[in-house]
Amino acid sequence: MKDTVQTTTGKRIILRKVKYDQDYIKRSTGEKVFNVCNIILMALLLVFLLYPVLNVLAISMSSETEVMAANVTFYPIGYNPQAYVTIFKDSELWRSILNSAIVAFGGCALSLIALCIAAYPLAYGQFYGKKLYSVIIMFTMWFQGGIVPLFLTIQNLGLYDSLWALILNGLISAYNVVIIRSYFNSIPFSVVESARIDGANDFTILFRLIIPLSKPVIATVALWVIVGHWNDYMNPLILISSTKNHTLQLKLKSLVLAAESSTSNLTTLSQTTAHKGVAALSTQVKNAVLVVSMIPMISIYPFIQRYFISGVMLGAVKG
Amino acid sequence: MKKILSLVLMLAILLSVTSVFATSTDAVGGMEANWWVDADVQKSDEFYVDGGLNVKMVGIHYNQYPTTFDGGYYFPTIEKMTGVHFDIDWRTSDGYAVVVSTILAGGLDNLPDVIQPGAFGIAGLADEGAIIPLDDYLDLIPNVVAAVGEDRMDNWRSADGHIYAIPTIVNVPGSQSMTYRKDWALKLKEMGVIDFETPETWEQWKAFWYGVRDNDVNGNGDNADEIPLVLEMGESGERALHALLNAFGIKASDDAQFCVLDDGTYTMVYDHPNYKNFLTEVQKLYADGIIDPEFVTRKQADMYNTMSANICASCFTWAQMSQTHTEELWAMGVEDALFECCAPITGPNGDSWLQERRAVTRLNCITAKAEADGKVEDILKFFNWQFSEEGIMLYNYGIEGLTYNVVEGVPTLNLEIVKNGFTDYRTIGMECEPFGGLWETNAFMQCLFAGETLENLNAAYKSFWNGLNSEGVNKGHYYPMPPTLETEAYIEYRGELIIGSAGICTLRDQCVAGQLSVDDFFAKYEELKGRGLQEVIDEGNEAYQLIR
Amino acid sequence: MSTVAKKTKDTVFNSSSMRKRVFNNIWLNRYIYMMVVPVLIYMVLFKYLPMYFLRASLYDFKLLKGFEGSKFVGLKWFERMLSSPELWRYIRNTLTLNSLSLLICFPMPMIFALLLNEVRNKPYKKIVQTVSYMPHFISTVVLVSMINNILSPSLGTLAKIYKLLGKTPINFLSNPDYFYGINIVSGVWQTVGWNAIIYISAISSIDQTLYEAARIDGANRWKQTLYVTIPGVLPTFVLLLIMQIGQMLNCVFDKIYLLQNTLNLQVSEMLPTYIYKVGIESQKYGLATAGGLFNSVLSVILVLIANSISKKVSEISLF
Repeated sequence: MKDTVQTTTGKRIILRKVKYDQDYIKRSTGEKVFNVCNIILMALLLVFLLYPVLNVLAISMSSETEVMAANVTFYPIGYNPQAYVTIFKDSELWRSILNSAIVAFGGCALSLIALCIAAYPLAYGQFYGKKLYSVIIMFTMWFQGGIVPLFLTIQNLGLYDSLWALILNGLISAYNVVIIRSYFNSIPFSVVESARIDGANDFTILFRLIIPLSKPVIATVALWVIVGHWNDYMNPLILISSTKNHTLQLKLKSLVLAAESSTSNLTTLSQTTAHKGVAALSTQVKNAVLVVSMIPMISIYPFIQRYFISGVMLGAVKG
Repeated sequence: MKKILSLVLMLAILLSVTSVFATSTDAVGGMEANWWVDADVQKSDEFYVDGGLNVKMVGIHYNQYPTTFDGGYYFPTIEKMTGVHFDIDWRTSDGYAVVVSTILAGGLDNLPDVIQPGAFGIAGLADEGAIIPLDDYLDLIPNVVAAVGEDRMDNWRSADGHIYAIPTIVNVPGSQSMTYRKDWALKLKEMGVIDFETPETWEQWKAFWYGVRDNDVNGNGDNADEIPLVLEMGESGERALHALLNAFGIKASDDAQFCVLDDGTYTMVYDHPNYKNFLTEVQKLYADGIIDPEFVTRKQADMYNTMSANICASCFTWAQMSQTHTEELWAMGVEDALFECCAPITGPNGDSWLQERRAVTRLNCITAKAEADGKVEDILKFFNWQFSEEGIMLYNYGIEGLTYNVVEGVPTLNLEIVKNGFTDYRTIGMECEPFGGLWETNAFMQCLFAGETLENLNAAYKSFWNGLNSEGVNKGHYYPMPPTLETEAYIEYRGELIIGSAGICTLRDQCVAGQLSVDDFFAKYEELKGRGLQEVIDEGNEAYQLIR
Repeated sequence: MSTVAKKTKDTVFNSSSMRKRVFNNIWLNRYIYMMVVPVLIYMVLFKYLPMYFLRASLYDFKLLKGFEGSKFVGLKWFERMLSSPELWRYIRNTLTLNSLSLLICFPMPMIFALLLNEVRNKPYKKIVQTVSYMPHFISTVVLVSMINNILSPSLGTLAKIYKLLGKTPINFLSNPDYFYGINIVSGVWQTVGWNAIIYISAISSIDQTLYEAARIDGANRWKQTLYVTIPGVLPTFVLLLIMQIGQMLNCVFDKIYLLQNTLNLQVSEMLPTYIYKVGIESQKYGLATAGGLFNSVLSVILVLIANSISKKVSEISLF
């Protein structure tokens, strides 16, 4: 790649992009073979990773006969958007997406603040009870109450059937605290010290100084929290009881993986209706719902990706 | 890249918004949207709550009914006629037990007024003190008592002798049937593989199945993709294989776990004298590739998929499925397809039995919260109204003059409503079965015949009718199902010893799949008996003798 | 002789000055304490309060009736659990699956990161990395649907491939031998890209001068990887390994639960799913609590063991 630059004296200089001198070293055949294999391996990996997703996408848009005949692989046959029309009419689905979004993004914002506040004393504080504080947090990483105690706690705290229960339940997780603390540790202590000497209090230091310096880890943890909330199935199952507060995963499960009408000994043996072609449509509707649920998350990460590429220095190495 | 993504997202959102508006004003069954809003409906003389009554309810909704009942006339009209407003949170039956647990965890104040037990079980709810027995209130609900009838009382009472739930009653003939691809049988006959058109003995059934297995009957060039006998697993896997159980003379309960022996004892099916023979034969059938290889994961929807995919040769299902899937296959180009309903599989001893449809099912329970709020009497009076003449007419036929007319003393639904069979009938809001009520034979028949006479029905409908009506192919084959009695021992041990990973159903499936020998199966059964199944059997028998 | 005990002020701190030091410290760190307190309140409410409710394991607990209305049964649930002949099989299943997963799934991200690091072509590298994250955003419910889509012997893609090759399709989903395989492969699919993030960032934070030094010493790429890159990521790897071992008795609940069926229950029933089925679904909440407690205690023991082994072997530990 060539760039022309004009120097101050008006002379034109051609700049050539500097490559690594590694590229000029003669490579042994072993290395060449390795490179080729590596590239092929990566390509196979791409196929492996993408195929199921393309399959779902394709089924959701194919015509009924082709789906039934199992001819659909990774491209749609017989364009048929009927499934999507059916979905978009389902207001419950959109409501659940909204709920999931509230929990994921709202919860993420609150979580980040809480996590930073939790990690800061561990990283920069010298105070009585620091060891105790640390143990209290770390212990929760391995020992949890379980499902029934969680039920009871949420009920006793008055958060029954509320999205707040989901947000607060996942507010501070010890694992994330460790990650953030490690990162804080990698910022030289002198920074904090000089700020303290200048008379700043710890809150100011945290919010004005440390957090801007910690963008990579904040972005990473933010993403983890958002995705964790969005994909979470067990917690909403237990903590949310009315359909208007359903999150997306719950709605998904009831649409996609449920047996259609039950004949258990405790429910009625009822006559079933069948719309013409409902069986075929339901496979496509199921897959269309899967696609719709994947879209939000997949479209987020390109935006946050740049924070990863710049090098997330976890410094977990330092312990 | 990002720009493209955000553009795609915006397009998708726009599309969705427009499509919501586009299709919400369809007329269904000849009735315009919101047709009932201005209908002239009188307040009921029999029951009206001045000042209105708000009833909160949690129920199980089936996918075949409209997703939201907003588009239906039923609940708004109830409110006009009786002043009762229902605030219903519909859930799917999947994972319903956990849903109820979550609701219970919210404490008494957060309970609804009416709750359906579903998989959680009436016994479970009663144990928690969540629902109240109705024994003392029977004088408030004479219509319900009359509708149930003396001879069906044992379907209404729970195992502990109390009555807890308002039932839903379906006075309609039995509607499940064995069905098979008659066109494939004819093809096999032509090929000389078999010499009959309808299998009537065990040998003939086997000949049909093996014929399907060995030949390419669906004509797609693939010899091995047809499944001779497709079986669905039911909800928790207890019910798989029950159609075959019946063929061996074992007249099982709904969940295929209990039966009544000839001497009147109530016990588990595994103790039935024919069970060993059953297991051995079925094991062989599985090994030969006759039985659905996926029977442990085959949900009902998956079974229907195989029917539509032209690979199912025979199965046991709702008679109507024969009709709908035959017509689907016609639409897909398989012109001579025909799912013909036939008599149940005849076993080696000549047994050919079919479960009678249970007409009375326990459905709506009144909760302790309603009791605390003093609403019990009003709610019960409402359900009494639901089973009165007025209530029944509303449930089955709708509003006189608008959706039906009385012709020669017989309520007759509008032709457009029944033209599509049950589809539009339910979409409009009639026969709201998840809510419960009494479904009349007359209304059922009108939808069934869809305005036609018997002679004019097409082959698919004829098959459906054959399988359905009590004079048809299943005549004489019905047997009344023994109940599954929820005794204490049953509740205690069901999770671990019946459907658990070492439970009897798992062992049965493993035996069928060849992972366990028949003798080992019975040996393990004895072990399980020792661990608690014997208690279940004994308590069940005791309770059964009392009920009888 | 007069012996007068002399008080040596300079070697003994009297209590009042001790107190003064403490208060001074607290005052200095007041902002830190302001951060610590809310976090502690949260921890107590949401993590430790549930532990108080573990006492439900001593009752035949009824949700609606609460503690007052439920019968006290003492250790009945623990006895029942420990005397169940299947308990040890479930623990064995859990350990087997997690060990296999540790052997195969766990190193994959690191290997992937190392291989990716060797790819010279930057755009290709970026594409592969981007695609590799994507599966993480797909929830378990969706994943299991995809697995069913692909592996169904009657309507799935793999079945078609088998038929094309002239063989009879294998019923993967009901065959106990394939259960672990399906889990591991789908586990790799889900985690290889996402978990590689940490390793990729660790690699990028390795000092470049080390590479130059190695090159000068004549190391080829393989040797560079062996002596520079791997030691650079090893601490991260070990730390994550320890944390993973702490999870040995847990399982990704949703996935296992959704993939279970009666024919593979012998190998697919894990302790958490067993507790869920026998406890929550059968409404024996006391038993579910007891089971959860048992599980947690075992996990803590495992982590402590793993941590102390790691301390002895490599100086890296979590505490």
